[in-house]
Amino acid sequence: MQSTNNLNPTPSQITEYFGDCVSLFPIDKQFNDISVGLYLKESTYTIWSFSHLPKTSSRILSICEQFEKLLGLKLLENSSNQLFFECGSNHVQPLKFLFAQVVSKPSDYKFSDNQIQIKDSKSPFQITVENINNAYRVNLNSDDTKAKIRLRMINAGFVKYGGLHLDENNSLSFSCGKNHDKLIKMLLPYSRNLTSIEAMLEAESQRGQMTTSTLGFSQT
Amino acid sequence: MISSSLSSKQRVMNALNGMPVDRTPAVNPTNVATVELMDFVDSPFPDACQNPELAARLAATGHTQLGFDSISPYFSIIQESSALGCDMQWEEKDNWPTVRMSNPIWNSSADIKIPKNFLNHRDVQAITGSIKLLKQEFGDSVAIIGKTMGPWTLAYHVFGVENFLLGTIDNPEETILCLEKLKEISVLFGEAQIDAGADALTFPDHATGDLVSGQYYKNFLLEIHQEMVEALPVPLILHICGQTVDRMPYISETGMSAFHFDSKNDPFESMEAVNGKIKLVGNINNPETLYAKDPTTVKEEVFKCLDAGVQMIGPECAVPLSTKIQNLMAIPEAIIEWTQKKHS
Repeated sequence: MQSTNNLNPTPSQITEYFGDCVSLFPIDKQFNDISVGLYLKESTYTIWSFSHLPKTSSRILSICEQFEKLLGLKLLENSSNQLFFECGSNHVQPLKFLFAQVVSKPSDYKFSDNQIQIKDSKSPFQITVENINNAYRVNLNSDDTKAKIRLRMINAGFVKYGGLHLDENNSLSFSCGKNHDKLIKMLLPYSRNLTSIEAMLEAESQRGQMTTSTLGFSQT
Repeated sequence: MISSSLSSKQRVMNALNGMPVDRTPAVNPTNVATVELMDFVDSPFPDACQNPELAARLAATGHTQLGFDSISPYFSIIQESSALGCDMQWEEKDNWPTVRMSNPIWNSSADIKIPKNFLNHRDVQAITGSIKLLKQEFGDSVAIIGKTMGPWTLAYHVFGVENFLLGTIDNPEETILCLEKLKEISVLFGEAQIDAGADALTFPDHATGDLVSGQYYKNFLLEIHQEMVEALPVPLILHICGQTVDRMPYISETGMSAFHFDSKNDPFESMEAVNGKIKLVGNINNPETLYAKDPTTVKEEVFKCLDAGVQMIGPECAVPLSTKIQNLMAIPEAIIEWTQKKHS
């Protein structure tokens, strides 16, 4: 029986070097179905896969580049798999959520423009997010009752998936108080659609679970 | 408690046999393989469920990388059913292979026939072959735990859950006949794994609290499970998911060595229910704790089980395939921490 490859770091070495896994993407359809993990130690994120397949390190580097481009993290000098936020905070909550969204996107995915705006999926309104001294304000191009309800829901989405703080003036901010326009831009499509995203997350969490329900051994 | 340090195998076998141990063993009667471990040893699902070399390599990580005292190469619950000809859905690396129970292969006890080449089927050989390989690699240092499905679970697979359960009401005599015939498959596959070198066998038989009552367990299964103890001469670990406290007093009468119980059952209440007549193994929660929380929370659950006197600690069932490795490594770590604290 071929035992483990002694040249590769073991799971316990990985957790010692890179900290705990904060998010695990089980099957990367962009690259040979490998699993990819996001590990965090102090203020350094490491993107790691135990796969030994050739070109795995290139795929990891490509994910890191997407992290820079789409989420605003910076690659550590001379590193091809470690990143950090220049603000000094870790922003674990948005990264935990956005990791899977970034890995699952094509590696050439990019924002279509510099505006933080999107068409609402549940109303005819256009959603725009304004950065006023690093406090973010969501606007809909309407003042009617439905728009106000939608605004509350979208703000709740930013709080839930982005870990942002919502103040009494409906302004959202990150704990570091710094500019994170890229995170906001990435979070916006998900924050506008809480119900669907919750259903998606629930379906993802059920996959790979062996329970009486997933086995079909329980009442439905 | 004994002062000398035991090998992992001795620790597990002593715990199963009610003998003293140097510390509570970390045992995985079902599965601790994850997608990261599959990548680590190049043994992805579903191939690792079909190939003895890959199954052995992946299963070994439970001991070599996670620190469990046992190795279990039968990850899923479908190997026999595949060999019987059930309609299979093999899925991908990140999901469990399943039987399409909506498309059953048999209608009645008259249909039950064990194929002549059953033990030579790829998915049966994947398990017996992997046990042989693991025995060669680890000898007597680690407990190798095989698995043979009980007749109740096999019945769900070959007849379909709904058909089978309706039959228990409409024609209980026929149900008993089905179980009597299906138990021969449990014995055949169990014996083959013992011959291959299995030190113990997990015996999943999903008479779960979600679907059937404790009285059902007594009426349909208790006697068969008692027979299995005679038929399969290694320690048996009965596994039933879900709420089972109501049937634990019956389960404790089976004569099996241990019961692998679900986190839906409180460890203190469960220990009381079995009243020392059977050892317990479990019951760290999978979907909420191991899958979604952190090592601190995992350790709290381990400590609770140890405080209750649960004799072997492990996940409640096969772990979710996307479980983070630090949470699995926390189980043996917590046992060692608890033991050191207790004796300091």
